[in-house]
Amino acid sequence: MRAEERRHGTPESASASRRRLCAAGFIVVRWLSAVCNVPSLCGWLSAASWLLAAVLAVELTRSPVGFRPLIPVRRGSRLLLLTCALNLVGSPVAAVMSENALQGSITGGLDLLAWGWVLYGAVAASHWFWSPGHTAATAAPPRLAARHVLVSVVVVAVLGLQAAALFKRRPTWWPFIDYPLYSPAHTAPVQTRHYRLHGVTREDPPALVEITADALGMSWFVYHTQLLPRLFDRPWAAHEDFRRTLIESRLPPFRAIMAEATWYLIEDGRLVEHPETRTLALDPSPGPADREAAETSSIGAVR
Amino acid sequence: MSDTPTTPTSPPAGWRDAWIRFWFPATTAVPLAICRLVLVPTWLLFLSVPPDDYMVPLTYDPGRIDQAIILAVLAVVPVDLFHTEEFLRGVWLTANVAGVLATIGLFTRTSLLVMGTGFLILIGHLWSYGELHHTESLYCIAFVLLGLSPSGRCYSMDSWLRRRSRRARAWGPEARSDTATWALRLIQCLLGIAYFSAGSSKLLDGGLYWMNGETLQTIVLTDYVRFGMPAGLWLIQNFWLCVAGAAMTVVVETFFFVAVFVRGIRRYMLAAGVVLHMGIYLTMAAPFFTWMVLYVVFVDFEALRRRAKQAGWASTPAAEALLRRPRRARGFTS
Repeated sequence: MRAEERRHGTPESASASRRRLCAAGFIVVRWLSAVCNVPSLCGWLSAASWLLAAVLAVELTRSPVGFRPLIPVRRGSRLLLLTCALNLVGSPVAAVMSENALQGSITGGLDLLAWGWVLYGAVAASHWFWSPGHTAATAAPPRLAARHVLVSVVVVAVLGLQAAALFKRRPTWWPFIDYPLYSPAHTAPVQTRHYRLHGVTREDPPALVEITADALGMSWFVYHTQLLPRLFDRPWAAHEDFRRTLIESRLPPFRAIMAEATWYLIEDGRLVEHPETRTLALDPSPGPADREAAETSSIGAVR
Repeated sequence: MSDTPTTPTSPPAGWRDAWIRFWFPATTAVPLAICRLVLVPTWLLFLSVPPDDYMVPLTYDPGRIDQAIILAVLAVVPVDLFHTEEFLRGVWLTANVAGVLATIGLFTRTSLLVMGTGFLILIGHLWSYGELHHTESLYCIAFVLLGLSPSGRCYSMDSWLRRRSRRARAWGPEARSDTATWALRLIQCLLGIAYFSAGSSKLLDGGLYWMNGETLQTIVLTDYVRFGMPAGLWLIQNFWLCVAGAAMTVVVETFFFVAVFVRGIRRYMLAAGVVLHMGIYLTMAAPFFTWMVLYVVFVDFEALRRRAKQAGWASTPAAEALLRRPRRARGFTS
C-alpha cells in the first residue's frame, strides 16, 4: 500500500497538486486576460479564467482545509477566494452592464489582484523550482539599532521616490525616472521614417554637404526627433533659430538647404526605401510663393 | 554578501525580523568594496561620456530646465554661474578627481558622494531640456549609495591606514558589519523595479500585441536606419525570431525582480539579461552596458572569497606534503 502511495502519491497530495495547478492556471490566465488587447484571444481567455475560477471554487468547497496548503501567508487564502469570487461575478456583470462604474471597478480590482498574484506566484514558483530545500534563516536576527532605523529611512525614501516616479507624467525627478522603453505596440505595415539634412555649397561647382548633429553642435536626439521633422514638415517657414545655428557653425555658406525624409518599409521580407526631398526657405520673410517653391520629389528604391 | 532570503513557503516570524534579515545581515564589506572597485573605474574609463558632451545644453535656454535636482542646485548657485562652461567643467573635473580617490579608497565615502553628486548634476542638467535617456540613472544612484555605506572598509587606502590605528578590528576583509549589505540590496531592488517598469509598461501600453513580431520589427527598423547595425537588418527579416525576441524581452523584464529574492534563479536571470542587452546593442545600438555592469551587485563575493580561502588552506599544505613525498609514494609507477 505504501509503495503504491509512493508511486502515485497519497490522495491528499494528489488533490493538493490539482488545486495548486488549478490556482496557478487561473492566476496566469486571469493575468493574461488583464493585459489582453487581441480581440480574437480576449474572449477565450476570459472564458478560460471563468472556468478555472469555477473549478477552483468547487475544489475549495470539497477540501476541508481550503486554500491553506496553497498559500501560507495569513489571509492569503481569503484573498484568493475573493479573486475567484470577483472573477465569477465580474464576467456576468460585464455582460449585463457594459461601460459601467461598478463593472469598471470590479475589472480594475481584478486586474490589480491578478498582477499581485502573478508577482507573488513568480517568486513562490522560483523558490519551488530553484531553492526547494531553502528555508528562512533560523538564527535570531540582530536587534534593531539606531543605525538600522536611519538606514531604513534612507531605504524607504529611495524606494518611495522610485515608486512614485513610475506614476509621474513627466520624468522630472531624475535620477528617479520611469522606464517605459519602447512600450507602444505597432502593427503592419512595418515602416519607419528617417530624416537627413544636406546643404548645397556656394562654390562653383556646388557640392552637397551633409549637415549633421555634430556639425551643428546639437544633441543627436534633439536633431533627429525635433529639428529635422520640423524642418521637413514646414519647409516654407523661416526657421530663425536654425539659421542662426547654421551661421554660428563651422559649416561653409550654403546656397540651398535640402531636407530629406525616407520611408523605410518591409515588403515581402525586403527593405524598401521611398525618399522625398524638400528645399528649405531660409529667407526670414517667406511668401506664399515659397510654399509652392518647396520642391518635392519621390523616388523608390529596393535594398 | 551573505544572503538569507525569506521564503514565501515559510513565513518570517514578523515583518520587523524579516526586514532586518533582508537589509542588515552581519557580513564583511568585501562585496561592497569589490563593487566599488568594479563600478567606479569602469565608469571613469569606459562609460562616462567626454566632457564636451556635458556642454551641449549650454546652447539651450536655462529657463527650460525642468529637472528637480538642477532646480535645487539653482536655488543655491546663481544660474549665470551654473550655466557656464567653466562651472560645468569644474564639476566634471571635481567628480573625476573624486572618482580616482574612490577607486584607490582614499576618503572613500566622501569621494564617492562627491563623485555621485557631480555626475548626478552633470547628467541631470543634460536631461533638463526635454531629452531623457535611461542608461545612467541607476549607476549614479549606485555611487551615492556606495558612498553612504562602508565600501571603504577593505581593499582601500583608508583601510590600510586605519588598520595601523587603535580601531584596527573594524577594518579589513575579515571585519563584519550589519550595514554592509543594504546598499547592494537597494541597488538590486532598483534594478528589479526598473526592469519591471519596462516590462509592465509594454504589457499595459502595448498589451499582448507587443509580442506580435511587427512591434519588434518596427522598433529595430527605426534604429537600423539610424545606426545601420547589420544584425538589425537580419533580425527584421526573420519574423518569428522577432516574435520570440519580443516574448523573451517581456518575460525577462517583468520577472527580473525575482532574482532579488530567489538566489537560485539569479544566474539564469542575469544570463538572460546579458543576452537581452547584447541583443539590443547588436541590433539597435542601444548601449545598456551600465545595467550589465550593475549586475555585479548580485555576485556573492564574500562566498567566493571564503571558498577561495578554504581551498587555499586545504590544498596548499596538502599539496606541499604530497610533493615532499618520494615519487613512488605519490603513485607514480614508472
